[in-house]
Amino acid sequence: MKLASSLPLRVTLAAVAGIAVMLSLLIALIGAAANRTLSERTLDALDAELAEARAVFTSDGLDALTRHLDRRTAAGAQTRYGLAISDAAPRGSIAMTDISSTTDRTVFTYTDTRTGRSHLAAGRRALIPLADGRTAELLLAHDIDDQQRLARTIQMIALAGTVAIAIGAFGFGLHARRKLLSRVGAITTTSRAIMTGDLSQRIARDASRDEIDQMADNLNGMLARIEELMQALRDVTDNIAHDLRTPLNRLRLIAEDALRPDHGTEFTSDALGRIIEEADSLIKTFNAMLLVARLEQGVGAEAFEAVDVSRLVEDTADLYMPVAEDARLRVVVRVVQSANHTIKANRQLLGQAIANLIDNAIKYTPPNTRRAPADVIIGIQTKTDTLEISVEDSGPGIAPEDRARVLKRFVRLEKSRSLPGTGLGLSLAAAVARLHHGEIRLEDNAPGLRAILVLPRTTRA
Amino acid sequence: MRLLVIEDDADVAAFLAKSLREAGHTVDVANDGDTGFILADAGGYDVLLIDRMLPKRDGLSIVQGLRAKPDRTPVLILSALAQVDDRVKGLRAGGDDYLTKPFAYSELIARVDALARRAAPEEQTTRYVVGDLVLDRLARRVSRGANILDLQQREFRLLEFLMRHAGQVVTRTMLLEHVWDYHFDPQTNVIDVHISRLRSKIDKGFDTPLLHTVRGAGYIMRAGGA
Repeated sequence: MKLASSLPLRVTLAAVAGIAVMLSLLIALIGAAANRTLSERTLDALDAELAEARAVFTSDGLDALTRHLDRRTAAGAQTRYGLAISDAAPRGSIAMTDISSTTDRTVFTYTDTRTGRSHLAAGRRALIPLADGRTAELLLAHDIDDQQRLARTIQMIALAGTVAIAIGAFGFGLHARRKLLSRVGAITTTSRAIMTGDLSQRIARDASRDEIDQMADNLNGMLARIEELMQALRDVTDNIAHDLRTPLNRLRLIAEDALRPDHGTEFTSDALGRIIEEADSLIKTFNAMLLVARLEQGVGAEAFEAVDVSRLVEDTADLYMPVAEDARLRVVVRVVQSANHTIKANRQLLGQAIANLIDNAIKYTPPNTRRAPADVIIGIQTKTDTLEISVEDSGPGIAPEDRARVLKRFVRLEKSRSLPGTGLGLSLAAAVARLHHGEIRLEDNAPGLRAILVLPRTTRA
Repeated sequence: MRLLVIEDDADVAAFLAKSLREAGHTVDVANDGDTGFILADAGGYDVLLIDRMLPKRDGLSIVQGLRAKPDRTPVLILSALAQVDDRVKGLRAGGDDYLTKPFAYSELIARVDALARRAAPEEQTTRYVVGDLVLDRLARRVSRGANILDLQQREFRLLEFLMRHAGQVVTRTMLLEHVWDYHFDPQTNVIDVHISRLRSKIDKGFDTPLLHTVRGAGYIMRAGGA
């Protein structure tokens, strides 16, 4: 990644620039305020000294003033003065000719006539009328070199501080960028690995529970779901391959056999009949696959109507009764007709789901089981919020670890592969249950399987 | 019977026309919705076979247009959409029957025959007779020759449907739809078991069987010869 396009760095730099500007402004303001306060104090002191000088002059005359001033401005004192009288030699350490300003208050630079050093000073000027009619121009001043130096120092510190902050912030930005990059980099690396086909990769987590960690968590959850779906798809493909190839092979064999010239017409027409039956069973399988797929998309919910479930269960059981009798199984239907059994449902789909459960129960219970009171028991239980349609058989049952799996599309346990059926019966029933916001529960009927179709009594539709 | 097939797929249309002609019908073919509607509207057909998805005008709209006229010609809707809801939509639009592609030839012929017969004003028959088998709807009684047969309610309705369509092939799907009102596939061939029950009651012990199996198609009630 280019440095200029790094998000954390850009954010940090913008923040640094803003802080630097504000800091400079603040320091400039503080400097100006300090400078002004110091200047005011200097001028106030000068005013007091000037008043004192006037008083000395008024009572004792010019020479006394000069002595007074010389005393005040002796070495170590703050005050300097200059006194200029026309035609007379200037007195004091400030040469009045240096001063160009004519205002009362002034800041100026002068060269000390005694030391020859240059100073910055703030001064107060006063004109003193002499007895002989001439005017003496008196200037009292304080050197303000120190004050100036302080102001400069403040400015320097401000500048240096700003630069230091900028450098520090830049470093911090780089660090943040590296830190963030290492976190985002983990995500990038993982996604690259996934793009090359390794869906088992997961983003590394740290235990910080920060935003990125939570995002990694969510992405991992998403990946797990995708992997699960891919696996399901693979399983489905494998199962389809098996379940469709077998009848297709059979169909081809029958056709091939029928083509041989030594067979009579009757044999041929019999073979054609069998071919049609094989084709029909293939179409059935395809239709069931399509139906499961569409149910998983929520199709079928538009055709909900009031359905008397007890009636539907009885009718469906009735449809299968002769099949059970042929298999020498006793089937008991324990259903009492009741208004409570009317729910909003898709009658055809619900009928199909119930039919599949009964079909399985009959198919997997061995003939002549002779269990008391019956080999297959079909019933309805009313619970507070749900209606439970149960189908109990006396077959081999399903091992607990396999129960969740058989509800998935196209899963048939190995031992049942030889029995007729699309392998979609339970998964279709489960899909229908989900469409009705219900579920299929599989329990141990010791021995056998108890399949329960749970439906909410007030179906949200 | 004069039939009109409205189907845009040339192969399917040709297959339909050939099959129906072989079954003794006169067949016209329209390849798009507009032409189909004009031909159908001109009238004179006993049954219309309309594909759901057509260029220019879709099948359901043709049916709705005809029903609005009103034109009560029986319509068999053909569709690749197999689900219960699609079927409900088709029948609500005014279709009389619904057949999902891919369909079996025998299923098609059986359904067209059933529709064509329905077109004739149905006299309220109270007695169906096939050979010496008599079904009395009012008395809910079935007899063969001199014997009164004891049928359960479901067996009675099954026999009634078969006898109403005597001489025609009735498919398993048609039986499921009309006798049980189920529009789904009950995995195992439950219908076969019901038929064999019924057969053991009406044919067992008699010289001539009346209820015949048509391999790969369904069943037919017929006096004399297999």
